[in-house]
Amino acid sequence: MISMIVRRFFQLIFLLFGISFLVFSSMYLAPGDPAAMVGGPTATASDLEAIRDNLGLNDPFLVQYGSYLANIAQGDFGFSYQTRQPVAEAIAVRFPNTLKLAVASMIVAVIIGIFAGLISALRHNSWLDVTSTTFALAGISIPNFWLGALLILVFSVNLQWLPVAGLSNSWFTVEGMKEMILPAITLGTSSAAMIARMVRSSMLEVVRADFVRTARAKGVKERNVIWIHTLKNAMIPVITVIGLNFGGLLGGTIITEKVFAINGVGRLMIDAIAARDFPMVQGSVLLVATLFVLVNLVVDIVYTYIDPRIKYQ
Amino acid sequence: MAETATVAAANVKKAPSKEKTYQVVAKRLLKNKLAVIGLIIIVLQIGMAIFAPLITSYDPVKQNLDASELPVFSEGHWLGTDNYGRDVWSRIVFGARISLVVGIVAVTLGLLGGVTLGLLGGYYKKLDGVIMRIVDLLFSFPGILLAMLIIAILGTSLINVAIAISIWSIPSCARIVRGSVLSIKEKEYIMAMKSLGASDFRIMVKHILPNAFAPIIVFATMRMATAILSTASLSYLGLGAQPPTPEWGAMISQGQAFMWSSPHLTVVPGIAIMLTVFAFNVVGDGLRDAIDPNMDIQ
Repeated sequence: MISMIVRRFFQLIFLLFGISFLVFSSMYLAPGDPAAMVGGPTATASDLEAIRDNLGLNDPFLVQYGSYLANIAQGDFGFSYQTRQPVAEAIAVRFPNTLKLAVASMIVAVIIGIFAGLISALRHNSWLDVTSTTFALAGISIPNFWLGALLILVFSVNLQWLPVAGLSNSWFTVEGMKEMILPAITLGTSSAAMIARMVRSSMLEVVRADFVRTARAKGVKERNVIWIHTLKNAMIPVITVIGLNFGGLLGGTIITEKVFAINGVGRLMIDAIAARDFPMVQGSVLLVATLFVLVNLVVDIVYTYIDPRIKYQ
Repeated sequence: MAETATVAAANVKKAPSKEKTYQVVAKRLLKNKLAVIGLIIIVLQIGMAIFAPLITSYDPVKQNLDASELPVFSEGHWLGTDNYGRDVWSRIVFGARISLVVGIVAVTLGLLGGVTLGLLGGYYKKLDGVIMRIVDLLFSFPGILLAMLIIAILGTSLINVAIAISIWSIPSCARIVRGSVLSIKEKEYIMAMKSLGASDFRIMVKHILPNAFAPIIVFATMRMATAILSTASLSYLGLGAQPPTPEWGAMISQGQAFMWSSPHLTVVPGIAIMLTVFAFNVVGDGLRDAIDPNMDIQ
């Protein structure tokens, strides 16, 4: 187990280098002169040359990449071409909103997904199963930005039960929770659908296993057969799907933040792409990708821990 | 003994004519009601895309400010008009064309890259490590993020969206193909081809690829759903189609500003996206079950 964690940790370091290289070279190759963006329309040729010298843009590619890595190691992600604000500071202000949204969506997805999947499996081939399966398929197919718009229309505009946009209150207040409901449902629906499908198929597979038949033959109560023997084993692949979905949700926040005007990293990234603010794009992409691989690593470790039959290759 | 032989001969005579694989798959697929519904939606969408000028009466980008924000079932505009007086039905129909074309281009490019990498990685052990590390690297980005990174470099346009989605599709496709190649290359007929002196290229293209086709076709169908949804999402974010292009995601984005007065501008394109994505998903599911119920495709 420990050797697996150490091996995965070294793989992670390699992957992080790869991510940083890919992100840096993408921005390096992007058309446009960063010096002109920093200097603005009034900058003269000598101003631009001075800016290039100052930013190290005249250095060879690998030297630039090396100093980029060295700066990152010190927490310096550069500064925004648009606002002149340090990238790390801009991200740090917005990241809690993105994380809150991803966690809340995951909670919604897990509760709805497991519940729907269980009902579907336990009432296999009934109308409940058909309804749940159809909703799961619809959940995977629905564009989340559209779902968000419809939820706003119904619950914020027509019924006026929930706020339209923003995450301005603390999470642990009634107002904060009310603000979170619609964005969390919007982002969590497709993950809920995926989890429901996984729970259903996993439960149906485990319920036919020999050890479940043995438990029934021994006279174990049906409730215990389901909750202790079946569910526990059926959850093993579900945990992987949940973990991978959490990583995906971090990426998915980009669209939801735009729909609900949430001041998060995703919205920051969209604005930065539109303005070709490369240091901001680099910083935010690097953060989300790093979190994504870290979450995947944790999922791998948890998966191996809860199912000792799996030996990590 | 003689009796057994007679029975066997009779069974041989009674045996139905051997059906081709695609006929068996088609029969199984057509037994799946959801997949049939999906197929009908896809055929209708293809029909809409091809005959768009014939089934619409208005130019999808032509403005008519005298007829702006007409509700659904208005005279001459059964799905109403938008804030510029453009016919929503015409925009939906031409939007089907854009979604399909971008989806097909993205999936085709993704397949080209993914199949090539998967074939090379699965067949040549020496290349496998390098190719799989590249695939791992591409997998370390959430899909939409990778697409946005590529658009940040290439700029915002529908072509760049198709390229971005195709690059996002490469790692998944490469893994699926590599998995198939690894098992197929150990088969006896591949050994036989090698001993006959067939070139690696011939073995890969003529003997391995056709046998790895089933998971590829399922992947492509499901990827169409992802591609159409992603195109709409990126256009919604303003990174894909630009006004006045009648793209479904961009239509929702523009319609959102009029959600209170004209909700149909948001609702109608959303239904179009959902139905299309649903159709490709259920056909993909159905194909997977029809080809091999135990096949594992992500």
